[in-house]
Amino acid sequence: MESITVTFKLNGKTTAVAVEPLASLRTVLREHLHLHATKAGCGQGGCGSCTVLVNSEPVLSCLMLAALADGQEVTTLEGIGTPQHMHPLQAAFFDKFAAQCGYCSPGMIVAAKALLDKNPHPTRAEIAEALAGNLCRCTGYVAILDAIEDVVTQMQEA
Amino acid sequence: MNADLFIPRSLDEALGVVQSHGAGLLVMGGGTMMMAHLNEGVFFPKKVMSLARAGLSGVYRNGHTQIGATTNLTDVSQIADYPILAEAAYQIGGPAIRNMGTIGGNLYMPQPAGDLAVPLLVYDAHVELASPSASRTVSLEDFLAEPRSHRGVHELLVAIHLPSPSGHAVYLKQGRREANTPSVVAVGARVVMDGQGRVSNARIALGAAGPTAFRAKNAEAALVGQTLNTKSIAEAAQLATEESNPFTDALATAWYRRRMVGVFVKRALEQLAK
Amino acid sequence: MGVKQLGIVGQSVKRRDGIGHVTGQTQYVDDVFYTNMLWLKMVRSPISRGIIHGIDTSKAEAFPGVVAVITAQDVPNNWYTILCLIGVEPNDEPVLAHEEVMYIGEPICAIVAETEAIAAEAAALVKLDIEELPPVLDLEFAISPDAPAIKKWGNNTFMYDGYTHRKLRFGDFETAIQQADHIIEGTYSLSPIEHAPIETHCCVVKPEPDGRLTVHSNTQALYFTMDNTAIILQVPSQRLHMIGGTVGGGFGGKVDVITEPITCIAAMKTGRPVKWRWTREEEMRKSSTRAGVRMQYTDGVMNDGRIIARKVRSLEDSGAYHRHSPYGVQKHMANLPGPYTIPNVWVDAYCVYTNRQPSSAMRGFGVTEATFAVECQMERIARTLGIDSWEIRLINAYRNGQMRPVRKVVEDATLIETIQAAAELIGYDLPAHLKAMNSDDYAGNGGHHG
Repeated sequence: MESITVTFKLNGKTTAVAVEPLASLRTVLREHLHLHATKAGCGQGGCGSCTVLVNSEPVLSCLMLAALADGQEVTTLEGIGTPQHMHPLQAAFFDKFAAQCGYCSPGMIVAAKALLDKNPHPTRAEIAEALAGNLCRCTGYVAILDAIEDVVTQMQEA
Repeated sequence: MNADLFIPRSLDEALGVVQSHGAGLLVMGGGTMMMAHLNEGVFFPKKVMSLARAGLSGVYRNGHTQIGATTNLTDVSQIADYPILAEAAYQIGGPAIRNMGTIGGNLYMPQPAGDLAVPLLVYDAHVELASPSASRTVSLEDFLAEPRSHRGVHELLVAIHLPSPSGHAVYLKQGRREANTPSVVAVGARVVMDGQGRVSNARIALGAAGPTAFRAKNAEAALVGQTLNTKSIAEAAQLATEESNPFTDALATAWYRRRMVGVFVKRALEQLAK
Repeated sequence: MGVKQLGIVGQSVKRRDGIGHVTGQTQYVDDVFYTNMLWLKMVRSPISRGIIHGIDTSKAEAFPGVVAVITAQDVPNNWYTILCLIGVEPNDEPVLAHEEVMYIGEPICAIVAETEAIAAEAAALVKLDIEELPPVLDLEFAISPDAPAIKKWGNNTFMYDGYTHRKLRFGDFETAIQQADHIIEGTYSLSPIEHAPIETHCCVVKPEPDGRLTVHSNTQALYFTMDNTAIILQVPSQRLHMIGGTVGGGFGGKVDVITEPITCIAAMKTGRPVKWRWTREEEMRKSSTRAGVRMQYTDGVMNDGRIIARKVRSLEDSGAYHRHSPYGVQKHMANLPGPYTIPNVWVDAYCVYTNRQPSSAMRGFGVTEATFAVECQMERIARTLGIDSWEIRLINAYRNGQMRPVRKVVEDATLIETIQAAAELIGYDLPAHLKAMNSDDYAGNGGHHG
């Protein structure tokens, strides 16, 4: 077959797209739908920069057949916040210099959101475990953990 | 790229695909290994089947325990009554990989990946395979000894069967990082003690210490009838080391892996002795 | 000007690109897509060393969706010597190999196709006829008389002013070492290190109607890249419109101008935009690394802790080609003695070629590895003599007015003061005689004078 149609809810909006059968969800998001927040850092599931949420669970979009997104709910970083309306995690990453080159940031923020949606009171160790699949080569991770802890504190005070 | 993609909704449908297209068919469980190869351009399959929707997930208890082959690693990490299986699954990758990888797929991963075979050997697992014409159940040991591939498939791994658990078990994995790493070595150990504090049954399984995961049977046999003490532990660790045939790869040398077998078998048995 | 009058210095200033990064709106090169864009995949040497007898691209060219194949014949100036403008010579690395291959991964020819997958599948169909030769992979072997010469000038080292290595001679090591109370030796090695940025190499080139090329690159060095690309393309640099500055991690791994020339040639040949993005495997195993290095120290040390003689022999692994290594080894040589007052210094620093992926720039390359060795050696001296780690460094630290082995007089030295500040920061109470030392004070320097 030359192409298949995948219909899914993307950032809350029903979306249908015709793609090659073996296309990954990452390719569809980036190259068909031109949502570039989801990054292509590897293609092996090693770096986590392609992390998105499928039915609120973190998955690596580079390893997921787009076909399997049919009928599911997909959330990318674009659906989490924008420059005009940043999610608290994004604001914290910005304030705490948790983004240097920025390439790991989308994956980190999506993974962190998945954690906080399930567990609003994680310990620092639990935050680190939730990010175990996300690599950063610039920051040394401390600023990233600080930013997420900051959001946890803000949420507790709220 | 032109290719035929099959996403069967049942085992019967999946076997139908195998029947019609087996020769050139690439099978994916969670896809974590196969998609990586596709992304890197390692091969260009023309026929692919994903088992993600074939109804092969789930944990069923009926005297013994049956784990569907496409049960993901997150769910496996929550199977509390087989604690070292759960532990080993939790130590694979990160949350996203665990949401995607499957227990069945893990058994096809080449060493030094494929950690789950270690606790599954400790728990005396059997695997159930189905082909269009027949179905068979073999011990995991026998399954690991067979050549197996995702490609040119004639049968599918359907489920893993485990007897009721007994004894105390420990799992230790050494990687190159604290998380998200293949194994330098992985050790699973379980002992059942008799009324006098002596070992009546022992299992020691090793990962990344040979071409497949395996049981260190000489080490196991040496423990039977002994208490767990410094001497018996040292002897078992030494025997396990001698039974190993590790390899060198980008992660570690064979020499280092051999040393770590001894270190981690000793640590595992010491933990069991407590 | 008093500190109070400064507006920005001392303030925490948010990153200009920070909001773009955290919202995924920053545009990286892989986010650039043009209508009608083609994709490039490189065919690379599968072996470490060999002679190319034939490159058969016929099956690739015939593959549906393949638009062009780029070989060495398509490269106007097929030499890739990125430091030629600072005198690194002779030309030794082709942009595309055609006579020999010198490392696993060396680029041979490029396939340009309608989709990335087609380019990859067609690239796998290129047949390479390469006669395999035994590779030179060990540093000591490479500089021994038994090794085959893998470089065309007849040996396996970069030639510095006619010598096979950089020599640093200061004082009289051979006499001084005889006078030492202790001879302390140490060998320190580093394996090559891969930068592993999360963003792989990527370049997009669009040919413009006016004959210019719009080049999107994640190079760390846009002007440097423009100059070198222009030399390879044999075009005036104003033909190139370079767009860059947004890099998803470089660390020195994106300064080798390794994607732009070929992508430009592909765009010129096809008349269409072309994207070349590296896979993680290419980034890990084929891109440049920090040089592996082996440094051997022989020190003559007195009972009171003064180092009176230091000899260093260092072999840095440049891999198959120059890249930035001849320059790196030069810096390396100068830094091997360390920031210490040593009146007799002898350094031999070799830039060695092997059939490995070329090493190049990375985070203070040349210097960082020397620092590692120097400080391990200082520690070894401290433990051998039973002298405190802080003291051994403060005794030997260089002072103002002293002549350094590289023939520069020390000025504005702050090594001692910095060590003292570090001790205070971590709450370590230095003894009084060490607290009293300063960069102008020779007395504490155990009688060394410059």
